[in-house]
Amino acid sequence: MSLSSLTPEGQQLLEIRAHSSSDLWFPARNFTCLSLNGTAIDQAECNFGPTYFDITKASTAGDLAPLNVTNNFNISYGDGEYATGTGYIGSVGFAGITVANTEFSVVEQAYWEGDTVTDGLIGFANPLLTSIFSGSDPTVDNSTNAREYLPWFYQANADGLVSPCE
Amino acid sequence: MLVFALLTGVIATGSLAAPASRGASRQPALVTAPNTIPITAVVPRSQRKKDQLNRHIAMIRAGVDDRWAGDGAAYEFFGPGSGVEYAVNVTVAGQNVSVIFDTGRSAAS
Repeated sequence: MSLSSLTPEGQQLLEIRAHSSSDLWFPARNFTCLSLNGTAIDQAECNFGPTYFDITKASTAGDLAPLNVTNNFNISYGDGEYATGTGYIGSVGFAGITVANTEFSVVEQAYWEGDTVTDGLIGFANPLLTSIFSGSDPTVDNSTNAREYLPWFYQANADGLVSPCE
Repeated sequence: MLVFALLTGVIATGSLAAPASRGASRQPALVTAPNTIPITAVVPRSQRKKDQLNRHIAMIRAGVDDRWAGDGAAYEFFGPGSGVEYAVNVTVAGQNVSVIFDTGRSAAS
């Protein structure tokens, strides 16, 4: 992340040049909402939207599967928000394109300053910025146990559904 | 080349056409996008999120904290006033989920 100051039309603005993100994630219905210091608080405090992902329903229907390795999802954002959870594989449709088997993460804990509308986030950056790690303990995650995967767009390209980035 | 364009509430994916000749307009012409993504909501960033972001900016400026540097994103388009999030729908394992479209850019005035 870097900062730069701009003055369009006389208004001074501070632009944050972020690295974007690469993951698709959303909270499970029974996720734990955390305060900034990690204390569990009322789920409503995270202000996610009204539609939580029903992982039990999806699992029962066979619409998703756990990854075949022990893993944890662990992401932090530029404004201090963070989320942890578990990676899965299943179908994801977006923009009229359905990728049959792509990775995403279901969040089990989050510090999140939500907008009461959205239930997660999708990023379109490259595989280097994916946030699924080997092992089950997010407190020990670092670059050595980072586990890259193909984000939705890259998987769509690998499957021949979209043209590659150039 | 992948293009995400925000035009009248629609994000489009498609290709950029090269300029017709050297010396022509430097603005590449947009071709018709094969896929479009309706933006389902434009949501103001919460005041608590603005406050948190400003605190973090202050920490970065002071060199106190760079824990989140290079990891993750800010997800609002740059612009006067700034501070909105764009919601799009994805279908995951048969369920519809409304998510923030991470643009990788943010601004604080």
